Amino acid sequence: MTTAFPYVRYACPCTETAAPPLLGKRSSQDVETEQDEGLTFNPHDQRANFSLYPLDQLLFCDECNHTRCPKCWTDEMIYWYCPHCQFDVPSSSVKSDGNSRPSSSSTHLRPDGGSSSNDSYILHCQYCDWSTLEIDVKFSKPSRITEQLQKAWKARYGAKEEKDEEDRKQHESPGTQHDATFANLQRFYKDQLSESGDQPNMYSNSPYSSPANLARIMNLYGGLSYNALKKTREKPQPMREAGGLPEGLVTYTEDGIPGEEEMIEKIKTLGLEGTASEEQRLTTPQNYDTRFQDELWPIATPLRVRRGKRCRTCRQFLARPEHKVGSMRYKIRLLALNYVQRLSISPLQPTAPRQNPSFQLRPETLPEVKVHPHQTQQYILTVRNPIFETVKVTLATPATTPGKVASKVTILCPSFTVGPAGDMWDEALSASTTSDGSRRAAMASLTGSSADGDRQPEAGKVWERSRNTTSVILEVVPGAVKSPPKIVPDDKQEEELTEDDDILEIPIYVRAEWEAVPHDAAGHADHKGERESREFAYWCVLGVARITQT
Amino acid sequence: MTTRPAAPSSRPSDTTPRPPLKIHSLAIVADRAQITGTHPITIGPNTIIHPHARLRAEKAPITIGANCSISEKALISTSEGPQECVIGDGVDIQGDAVVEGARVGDWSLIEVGAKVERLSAVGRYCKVTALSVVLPGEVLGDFVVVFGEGGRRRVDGSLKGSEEMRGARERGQGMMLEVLGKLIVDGGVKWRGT
Repeated sequence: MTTAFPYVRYACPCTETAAPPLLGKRSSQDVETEQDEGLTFNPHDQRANFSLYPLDQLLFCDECNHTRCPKCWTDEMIYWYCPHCQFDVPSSSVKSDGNSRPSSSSTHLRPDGGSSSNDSYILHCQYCDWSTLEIDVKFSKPSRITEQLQKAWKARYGAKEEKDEEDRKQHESPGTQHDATFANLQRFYKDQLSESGDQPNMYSNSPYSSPANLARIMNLYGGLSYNALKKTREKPQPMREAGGLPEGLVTYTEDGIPGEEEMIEKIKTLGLEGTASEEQRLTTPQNYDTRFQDELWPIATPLRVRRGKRCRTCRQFLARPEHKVGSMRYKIRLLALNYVQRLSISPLQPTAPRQNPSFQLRPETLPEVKVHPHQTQQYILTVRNPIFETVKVTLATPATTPGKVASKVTILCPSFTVGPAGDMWDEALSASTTSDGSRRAAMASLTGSSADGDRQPEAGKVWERSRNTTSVILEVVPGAVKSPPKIVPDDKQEEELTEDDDILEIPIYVRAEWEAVPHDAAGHADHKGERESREFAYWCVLGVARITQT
Repeated sequence: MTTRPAAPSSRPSDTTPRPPLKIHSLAIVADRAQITGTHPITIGPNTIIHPHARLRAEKAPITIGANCSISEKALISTSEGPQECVIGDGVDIQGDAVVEGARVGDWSLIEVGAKVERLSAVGRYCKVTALSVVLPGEVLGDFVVVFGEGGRRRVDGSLKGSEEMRGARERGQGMMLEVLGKLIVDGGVKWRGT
């Protein structure tokens, strides 16, 4: 693991529920968490790697009241734009013209108005002077270039392909008929999709804006038809891959390619520089068979997209960029940072003033933090509250850490409150005016001798408290990596330690409870006094240090 | 005023000896152009030498044809060797470009910051794109485009194959000279004096 110690990872609950919860059963999550309470999250489990994320990579769905990781959100294209000229291409024209910008291409081609004879246009690159005259293509109008290019290509090569196909029927050798092959392949996979029983949403073509919502409503009113129900009960057939020419699979054959002799002759005259590079050939299927630069077909610039993120469960937008090309801002962005209590851990007796790895100028390798087995270590666990309400936090941890190396963990004060988040200035001002010892404290921090340096951690007491953070003490006795030699030889084979098993990782179950103004009542005056209690619970993992082998 | 700008007499073009010039009466040579050296310089009709363009005929003569445009900070010189510098008709040499003892064919285009090195020859209707270099002693045929990273060279098929396209370039050059002729004032007696 390359990350610096100590670190905190948050477990996204999506892996516990194999499939995302069904629509209309939002309350089910509470049930699941209750079921999970019996189980301890094991950070050394192989599956754990896939559900642990740093807090800043998570989003939060406030409808489902859950964190969302990359696996439980879907990307949605918000808008298309041209990477060269930042032109915002309307989605309607993308749907009709395909995913490319018609009027400029990767070689910055532009319609060169009227430089050719009357009423005919060419594409002309202002930089290298390439123009469509070199491939003998002229346009009748300066708009819809992609369409006209396509037509010209079909007129030139389409006829040849048809002939090729006839040839192939005679000789039974696959030619260059990409379009026909692609059509076959597409047909095959469409059949496979419909056969596999992975039914598409039945209401997808309804006039309602959200098919998922409609599906939920229809579920409520018992909407599924008999056939659909039957289909869902049937076991889905596994999909198979294309397996032959009629299904669109073309395998490479070493048979001679027609016109090979001519090509060799041409290479002799043009040299290697005249041949098309692999990159050029892979730009578009139209260039796949092109061998020489003077035969390359121009393509329009592939467009880029900005993506929004939606919750998989309730289709709510978790992140939605501004609909403006070049703007990096977001209209909606529900970061987990703003909803989930941030935990951080640091040793009680720091050995050396540790530099925050985020502020390192050079990529130095940090000295690895090591702990010795059977030596009690004390850590300060700080919980920072991003919510504007006072939160009651309950921490729970197994007495010994799961995994092959069992360490003993004790939280001295597992239940406490954390104050509400607010303005940064409030804290600064109130701290300097209210506490009389502020001057002394400031002096102490300057001289380095903490005023309460001899303070001992006490069970059941909060270590430190500020406006929206609360610190408690965590006591850890790291277990031995190698079990002591046994006096009585045991038949049981000792488990081999794998990589990273010696990392001291503490799973902690965090449960936060607070009271908030209900969503629905926010607007109504008569509900103003009412508060509803909310709770949010999750597993997180504290990576403390590596345990030394000896 | 204690800090007065330098007197006009201290300008290099005035102190250094003026080379023997043969300027066509229809050419425009700006007052602030820097023309130095000892060898003869010939400038053809309709050619425009911008202010601060540099012509240095130090070791060999310079000949510039008709309908050319030599932009500011462009350098045409023969200071490195005895090779003559010959610029054909309708050549556009843009800002900061360098032509050093070379031959440039008719209707060619030397773009911003491009370099045509000693002893080389550029053909007709060529284009040396911005910051590209024609190597010393290299001979480019007609219709060659020097472009891209690593100085790729290609033959421009559209200009080569189409009379129309060549006409378009010539017309374009003519239009540019027409506009520049209105903007740039001829140095008059400074270059054409006895």
